[in-house]
Amino acid sequence: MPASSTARHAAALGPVAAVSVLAHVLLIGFQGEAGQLTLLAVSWTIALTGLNFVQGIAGYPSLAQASFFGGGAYLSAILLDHGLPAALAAALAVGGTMLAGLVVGLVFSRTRGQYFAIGTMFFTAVTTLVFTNAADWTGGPDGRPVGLGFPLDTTLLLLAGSLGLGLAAFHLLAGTRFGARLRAVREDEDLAQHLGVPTARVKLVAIVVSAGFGAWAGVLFAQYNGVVAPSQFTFVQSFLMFVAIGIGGAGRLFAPLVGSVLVLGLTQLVNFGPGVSQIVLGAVFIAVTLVAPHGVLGVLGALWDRIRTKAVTA
Amino acid sequence: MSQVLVNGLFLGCLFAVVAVGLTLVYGVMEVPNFAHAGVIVLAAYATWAAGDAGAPFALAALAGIACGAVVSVLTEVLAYRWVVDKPAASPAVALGLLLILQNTALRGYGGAGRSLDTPYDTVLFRIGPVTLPGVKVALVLLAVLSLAALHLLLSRTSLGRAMRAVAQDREAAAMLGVPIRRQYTLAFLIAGLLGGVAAIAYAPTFQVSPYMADDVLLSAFVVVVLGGLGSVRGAVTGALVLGVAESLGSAYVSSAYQSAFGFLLLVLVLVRWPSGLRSTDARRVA
Repeated sequence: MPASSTARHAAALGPVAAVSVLAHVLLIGFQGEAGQLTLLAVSWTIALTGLNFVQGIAGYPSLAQASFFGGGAYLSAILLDHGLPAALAAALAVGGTMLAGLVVGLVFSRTRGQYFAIGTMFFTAVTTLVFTNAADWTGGPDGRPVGLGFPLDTTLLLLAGSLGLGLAAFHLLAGTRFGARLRAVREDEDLAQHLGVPTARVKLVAIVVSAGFGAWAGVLFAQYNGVVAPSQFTFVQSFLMFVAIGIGGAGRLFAPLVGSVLVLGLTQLVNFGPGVSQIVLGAVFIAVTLVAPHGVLGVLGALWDRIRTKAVTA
Repeated sequence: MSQVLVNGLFLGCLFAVVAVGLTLVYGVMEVPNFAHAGVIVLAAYATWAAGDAGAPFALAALAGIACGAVVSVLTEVLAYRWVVDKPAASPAVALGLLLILQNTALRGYGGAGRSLDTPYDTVLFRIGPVTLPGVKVALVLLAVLSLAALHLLLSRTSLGRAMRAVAQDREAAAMLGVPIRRQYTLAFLIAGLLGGVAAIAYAPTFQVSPYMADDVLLSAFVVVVLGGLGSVRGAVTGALVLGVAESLGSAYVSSAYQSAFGFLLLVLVLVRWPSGLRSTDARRVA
């Protein structure tokens, strides 16, 4: 491996490992409300790393991520109830959700931009209907308890580990031909198609991968949280996930982390009163979309480049 | 059976009024206007607030429609106008606006549902086995009147002609001297008026709450896809089809999953025609 590429990987994976360790320390250290918030931030980051393929690299506005997240959470809870061992229940939950992702992908990966947003949003609305109404399995609108599959220590390790491994996988996959093809879809889908990129299949794979990340995040979230309810997986949550990637900086490695910390911090931590934090979030999001289309990380990256070139020329 | 079909017709009229607003905006500006739900919510609250303050219903309804128009135009002037050259950013802006509008309602009036009383609440028509509540008759009347007015505007006036021109080919229209900016604002004004009409037409049958328009918006988007983004006539047809489909599904399969039947229809259509029933290349507003 050439030295420059090793250095590039090290520069990305070093911080990833650090974040992973930090997440573990915070998860162990925080209790109560702060612990809840950390849990949300970590599981959202894992889920959003998957979304970052579809929305981030390929530029497709997917509003289905919250339902994949919920799919993993609910499926694992139901399977655990049937006495399956935790690892098997988790694997089946992720597999089942990826299957749902495959169906969503097969239907909607042939559609473009606006149609894709509308279709995936509707998919989330339907899964919310199922979570709310299939009360025998899901416990209805008030949700259901989740049986303990893994010991708490293991869950914490898995959360922190998956955060790091997920980000690392994103970094590595983004550098492969798959990543290049997704970028080609973003830049000019028709051109990519004419040049022989199997655009529909690439998008399909990206959606299935995003479903896998979302479902695994959901499994871990459910394990730590102990309860799942439909309100955690509505299409408002899908909006917020979409917003998080946009604010963070679509397609950038740490966008899921920065985005979820900002969005969750703004909605859960700062208490302006009902609704106000989401108004602020909406305004911030529009401002970022208009002024800084590459998100917070894009702005920081540009600043950093400017400082560096100044330092070199001075 | 006939009652189910009539219910489908009511739903269809509601979807049509909302969907035509969406498709008009899409046709002229290529924006998927998710914020339309927020416009409807604020219009409904304006009506409720005016009624609560003692205004007679007709005045309150006018206040609601006016509020819808103002809010809709504001979204265009303050946000959408700035992304017209960046179509990829418009879903994001639309969702941001939806967050803002819905939560403004939540902030102002709280999350509890409020009922909107009308003078025709207690009126009930009976034709054979079919019962027609006054609110729903009013809904159909309002829908037909407003859509007929829109049709006349689009087909008979120079304003309508200009708008259709912009929808067909923005650059060509601009070259021929059509003031593009004004068409954008006009499309949002009309969409807002229709949103206000939708709000006062169906708020009495549901409740006024910050999330009252979510389901309707989703169904209206299905309608827009069914009819082809940007096609007004397609939107009206699609709305009636979807209304009847959802009504049949909720009557004979499960009422809890009413909007899921719309999704099913959407999936079926998109599997066969990935860009909607009408190709957007032949987009037109008429």
